[in-house]
Amino acid sequence: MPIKRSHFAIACVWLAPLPFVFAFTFAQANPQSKLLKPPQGSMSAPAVSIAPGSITLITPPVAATMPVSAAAETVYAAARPRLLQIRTLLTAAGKQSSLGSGFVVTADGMAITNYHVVSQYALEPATYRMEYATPEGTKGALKLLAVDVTNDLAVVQLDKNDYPFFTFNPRAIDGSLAKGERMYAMGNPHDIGFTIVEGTYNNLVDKSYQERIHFSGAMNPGMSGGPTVSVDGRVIGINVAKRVGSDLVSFLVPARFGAALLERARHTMLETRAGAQDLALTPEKTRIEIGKQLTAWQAALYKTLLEQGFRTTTSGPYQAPEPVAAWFSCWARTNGEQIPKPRALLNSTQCNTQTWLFISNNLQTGAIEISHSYAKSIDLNAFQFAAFLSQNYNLAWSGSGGRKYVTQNQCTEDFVVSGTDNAKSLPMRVVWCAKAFRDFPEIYNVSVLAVTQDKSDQALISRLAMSGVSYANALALGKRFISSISVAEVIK
Amino acid sequence: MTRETIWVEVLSRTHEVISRHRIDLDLQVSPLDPTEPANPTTRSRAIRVGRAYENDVILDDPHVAAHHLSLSMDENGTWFAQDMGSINGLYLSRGRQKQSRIKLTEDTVITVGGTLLRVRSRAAAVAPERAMPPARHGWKAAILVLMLALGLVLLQSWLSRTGETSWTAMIGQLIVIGGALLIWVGGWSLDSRFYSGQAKYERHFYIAAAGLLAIIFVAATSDILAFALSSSPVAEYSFMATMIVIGITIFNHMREVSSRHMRLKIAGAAAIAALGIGVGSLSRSESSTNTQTAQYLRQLKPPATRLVPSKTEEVFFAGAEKLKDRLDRARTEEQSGGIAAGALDFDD
Repeated sequence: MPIKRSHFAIACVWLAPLPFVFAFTFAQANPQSKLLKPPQGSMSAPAVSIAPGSITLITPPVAATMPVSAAAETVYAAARPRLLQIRTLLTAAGKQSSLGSGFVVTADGMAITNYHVVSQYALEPATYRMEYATPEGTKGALKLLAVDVTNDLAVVQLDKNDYPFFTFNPRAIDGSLAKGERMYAMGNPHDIGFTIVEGTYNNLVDKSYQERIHFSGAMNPGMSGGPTVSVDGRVIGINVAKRVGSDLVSFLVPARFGAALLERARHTMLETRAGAQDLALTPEKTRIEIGKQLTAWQAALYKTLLEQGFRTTTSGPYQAPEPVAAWFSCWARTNGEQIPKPRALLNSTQCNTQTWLFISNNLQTGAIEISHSYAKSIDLNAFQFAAFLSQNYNLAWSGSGGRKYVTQNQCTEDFVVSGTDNAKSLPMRVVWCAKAFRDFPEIYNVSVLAVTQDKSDQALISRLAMSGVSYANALALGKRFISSISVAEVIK
Repeated sequence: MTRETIWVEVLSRTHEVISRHRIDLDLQVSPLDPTEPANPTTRSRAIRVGRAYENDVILDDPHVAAHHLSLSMDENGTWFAQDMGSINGLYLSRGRQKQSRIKLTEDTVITVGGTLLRVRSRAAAVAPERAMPPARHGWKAAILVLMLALGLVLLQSWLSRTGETSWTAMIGQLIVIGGALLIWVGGWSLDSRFYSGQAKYERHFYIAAAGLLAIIFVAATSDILAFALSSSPVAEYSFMATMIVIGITIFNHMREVSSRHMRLKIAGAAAIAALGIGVGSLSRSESSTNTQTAQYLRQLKPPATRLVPSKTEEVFFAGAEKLKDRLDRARTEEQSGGIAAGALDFDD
């Protein structure tokens, strides 16, 4: 890689399923941690039953003027019976393989969590089973009702009725929250017990295609899928991720996506006039559903991209396409100041979307990367310069997934003349490589690589990587990309 | 004729003469009991062979008896070998049957313990004189070819150098190549010395240097050619040409060792080349199945080396569009656990 990912990439981790090894070690090292019992709090909960299809909101249980600590105490006391820990267990061993959190949202026992908390079960129910645990220690089986991979959400069904439940904050739904507003994230981090964490609302994340709330508060693995609520105890967002290598930078899925998915699950239930128990997703249905969601998601994303097109930036004598969309994060680097003095200059820019859709632990997709490296020989001859270019002539990384998830890369390559305008057209060598997703028809990872061939001492290497894209969209954006690489007009 | 000269020859496994023993016989002396000690001046018609110092021909072979056999001529002038009661007995060189008496002709080779013997009279016919090979490829030629090969190595390493020049790396490279060549040539010379008695060091040196030059030439040109023709198979399968060069080189060495069994040697060299090609292809197909690495031409060359015309964007993207069918086929085929399709497939 000419561009080290570590220089550019800003890694987010899902507050992912607590890994088995860690949980095991922890339990061994701290046997007393198992003895921790959740504090006994008030069990009172508003038993408001809601009509399907509407969201009824409970009255705020606390006044906003209360002292902070008292507010957290009250919020937790009200929330406690509605919180869940969601475990995925390896059926054969009967032991947990991943952990997350969740929260009840209807009286008849529907709960929301993250898709990534239930992904193992969703894709491989023959190997895994799912169960919930309440702060009181009650356990029970869960059924998967609906998933939304683009927002990392899932709706699950508990095995009994008459639950106290959370409602969504209407101000979160219509987006009128104020920056700095106090919020409380809840969940069960590292399987050490249910926790409430205080933090503040910091608007939606900039430079993100997906809507994500920036929550300034501590989050840890295991809290995924738990609710973050306002002082009145109503849900603002669903815990989903935090940024690695930073402090208190955490992300929430906005409540409205949760509400929408819940609506969808309910709607399906009404339409089929069946009980929720019969609506559980089978792995085939889940795969089809995820495939549909990926297809729809990339269709919208690439429609926007193709409408916006590229703006061109000038690198040496070349014009290179750069994305216009604000949700690309762009970085640059040079080898100019290296010691020993490089024998060819290499200036690189890289733009990528910080958008990864979690499909499974080994398959994340949906990102786009555009990068350019402009190279100019200082004292290399034509062959040496070609060798220098070869070192940087690599495809951009186009997504994770091994043989289980994607087919082999199939490539085609040739010498190509870009553009139709003779003055600006440019001979290039272009490589096109694509892999198909095995489980989702019409979804591919595509990588395009081009190097200009007009000069023997200067060149532009351009890369475009699209993951989780339809072939038609990949072709459309790929064509646009290649034809935007051109010779800059000579300024007289 | 009363006197006769006989040559008893000790042969190597490959029937080359290791030593010759001249024995002058006085035929007037009547045949004697072979057990009687030989008279040093007037020998009998029987020649004694064994490990003891009384014998006419002494064989220092622990598997030969002190008095192992006698060679004698009958009235018709035919020579016979007679076992004198040894443990290990007497065999025809290609026979498995222990013999007590063997009739000897000019070309009969007998096995005595671990030693091969042949008896020839003065009348034995020899092969006609062979013309000397034209005086080509002496040391001069060998060194010239080696210099060319090493020069090509240096040129290639210079042309691919993009960082600081490291003289030790360059010299080290030459030392490694030179050392490997010396070991290789030494091995073949030993072989030659063993089988044909001549080391032919400069011939083997020449053959090895020529092989090295060819291999380096293939490596240097295949990358350029692949780029110039925009054909990744040229680069990917250049190892086949290398294997063929190695096969030819090994054959040349074997031919230099001795000119016998040529068919077998051709078959052996071809088998080595085929094995190399087979293993290389298999490892390529496996690695392309097991990894998700994209297969494309990674070695760029100066734009001026391009020979094929550029395509238009339309043509290129039409080709890219065609890949979709292959991917969709692979999606369904590979799912059923089959070996990845298209590992050795260029039909697009």
